[in-house]
Amino acid sequence: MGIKKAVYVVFLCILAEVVLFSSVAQSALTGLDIMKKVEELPQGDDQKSTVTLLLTSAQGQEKKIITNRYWKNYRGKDGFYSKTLFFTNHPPDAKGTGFLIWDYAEEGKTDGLWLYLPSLRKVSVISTRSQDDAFMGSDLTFADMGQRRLDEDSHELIGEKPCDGKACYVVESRPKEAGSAYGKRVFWILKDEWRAVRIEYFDQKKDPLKVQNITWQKNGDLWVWEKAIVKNLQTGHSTVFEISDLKMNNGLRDDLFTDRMLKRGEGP
Amino acid sequence: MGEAPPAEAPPLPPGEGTLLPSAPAEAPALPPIEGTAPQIMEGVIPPQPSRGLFTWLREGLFSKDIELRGYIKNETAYRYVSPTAFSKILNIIQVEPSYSFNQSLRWSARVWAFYDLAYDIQDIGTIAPIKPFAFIEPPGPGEPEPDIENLRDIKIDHSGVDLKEFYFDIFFSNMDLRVGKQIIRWGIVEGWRIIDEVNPLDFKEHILRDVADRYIPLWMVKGDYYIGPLTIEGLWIPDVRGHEPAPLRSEWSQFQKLPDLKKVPRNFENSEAGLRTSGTIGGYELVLAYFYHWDDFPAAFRTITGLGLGNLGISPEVTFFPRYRRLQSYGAGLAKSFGKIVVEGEFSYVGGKYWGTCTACGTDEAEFNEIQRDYVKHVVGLKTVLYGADISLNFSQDIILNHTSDIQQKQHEDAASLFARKEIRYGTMVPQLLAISLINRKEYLFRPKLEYRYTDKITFLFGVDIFSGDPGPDAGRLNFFGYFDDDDRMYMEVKYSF
Repeated sequence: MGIKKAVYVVFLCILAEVVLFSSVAQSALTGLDIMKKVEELPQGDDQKSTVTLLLTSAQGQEKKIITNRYWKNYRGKDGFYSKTLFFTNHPPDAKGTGFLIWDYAEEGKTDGLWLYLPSLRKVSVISTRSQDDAFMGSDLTFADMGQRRLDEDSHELIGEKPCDGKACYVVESRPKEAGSAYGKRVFWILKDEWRAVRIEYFDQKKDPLKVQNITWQKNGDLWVWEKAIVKNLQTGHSTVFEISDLKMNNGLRDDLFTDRMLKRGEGP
Repeated sequence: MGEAPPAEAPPLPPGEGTLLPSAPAEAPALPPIEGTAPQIMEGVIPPQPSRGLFTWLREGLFSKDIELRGYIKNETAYRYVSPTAFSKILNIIQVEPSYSFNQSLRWSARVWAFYDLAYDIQDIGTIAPIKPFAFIEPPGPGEPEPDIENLRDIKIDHSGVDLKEFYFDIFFSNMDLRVGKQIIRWGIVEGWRIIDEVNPLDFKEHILRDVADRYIPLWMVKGDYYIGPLTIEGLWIPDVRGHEPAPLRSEWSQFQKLPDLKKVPRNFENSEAGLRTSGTIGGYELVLAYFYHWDDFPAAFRTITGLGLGNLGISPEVTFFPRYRRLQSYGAGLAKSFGKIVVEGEFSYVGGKYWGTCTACGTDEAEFNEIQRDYVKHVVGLKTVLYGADISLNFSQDIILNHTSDIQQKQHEDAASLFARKEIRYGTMVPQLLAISLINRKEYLFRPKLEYRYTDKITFLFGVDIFSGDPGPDAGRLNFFGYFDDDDRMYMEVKYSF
């Protein structure tokens, strides 16, 4: 997976796993077909929301992170795939911290990343994170939060099982490259809705590593994450992602995604 | 979210006109606030303030929408090199209120109150022992004898309240104004003052404090105009100040303001002004800057009489005429991300700097003067992420143009730094290291530290500051890090943020 995708990510998956109801001839579907359906879902023109992360250690120690997120879908216009801006509201000593991402549409072009730290009073260009780095100290990595290129894994439909009172496809994705963070991932995807409700992560030894359960909220015709609970089965640590105050298609202006707003430490 | 690698800035070693010994430090902090809450007896209605300005402020202007944040912190440092001592037990309350009147107007402030317990439980001479080249000056005619417990008459503010920042932001459609006391950061490469020269520095604790405490905020007007991908920033700074040295003969005392240093009169003609253009073009972060300012290190301008009369028992007499001098700085900066590597650099050409000269030094014919020479400075750096750790490497140079052998400062000063930081255990533990080398002086500063985020609001910090190098050739040329070779310390901080 390209670095570009890993960064573009950030909250894309949290908020942008949007689903359209469609009718597909199920019998012809392969694992790759199903994953394509998940990836091709529309995401709206823009989104703003509050994202809360609750991190809990195995000993029960809790840490909360609250951010405001602004995302705009450029669909290749002006050379961008999307732009994302977020501001930290909590914890108090990080309040006002801003993070701006320009995801360029051009294949291979490195994303632009800027960080504003109130303590330094300046905006800095930062290097892209590694895919395996923890996202905001959570149990998901930057790779988990992004749209890993489909051709980086082999996808196999291994069955259909009941989930949440409905039927789910179960797709196993195995990385093609050596040295991947995971030995395999197993996706539970609602039939006809193309929403992943459960993801199981296995380490290189194929031992269970993490499990992620996702619940969804409907906004207009679009489905968006409401809550995702990620549990590390080996460390006992867990992270709960919650999306609130979600507003879509707000007509967010281009000048929101600039260092001018980054320095303000808060959104409009 | 990873944080940028904030590094401490190794500024230029003290320049001309900052020699020992000198006048006591300026700008004592305000006295501590004395306030006691009135006692309220049960059943007795306390007197109500009249409905005037106070009520208007409370109910009208400062409604519950006012935002209040800040922290309470204890910083305890222990110098483990003999003579050992707790060099600070500093307790700080910082309050940062802000209020948005509407979408276009916001007010922000930062108030800092501190009390250092170390001076109440230890002798001041233990905290700040005599260093090489330091000496006790006898009291002048008519001056009182110094306190027996403070023979060296060290003047340190143990407590105080400072209004650190106070400004209004006014937002227009294509322009923003910030008016008030504030800190400006112009640089690209963190930790280096190449074009980031707007605010002077407070050396009260050398360069060991964070940016917000090390940069001296100034009253000014800042305007940012946005046109396409460019931001054009203009500054007007009527509040002219130079670097603030550590109190004379205190632990971190190094350079001092010279006697008879004249402050720059505050008027329009003496204002500082700057213009900065920045933008992201083709993936390149570009900055051009011009700053018309005063040298934060004043020039000495000295005359010496009596040289060559030593055989007659007559000592030469040095008379200083220290003055702040105007400088013009032309700067440029660039940053470019290549994925996991960010390359960045800054360059500045500084015109008008005065340097001290010495001809026939060490002889009876020694002659001291000042000479005006422009100089350039630059820094280049790399930032990357390795095994989840933010790494930053930088190399910097200051070069005096048309250097002559009589200039006391070397033609070029080279420096390098390494900064590394990694979040582990889900971000609850953050080890980091800052190492700075002044290459041709063979001086070093190492700052390993470990941050432990106990809860969302409580953070512990454990660290060590290690200085290495020679103290310097004489009292007028103290080395920047080496002078504190015997001031290595360990410290702990506890911070509650709200």
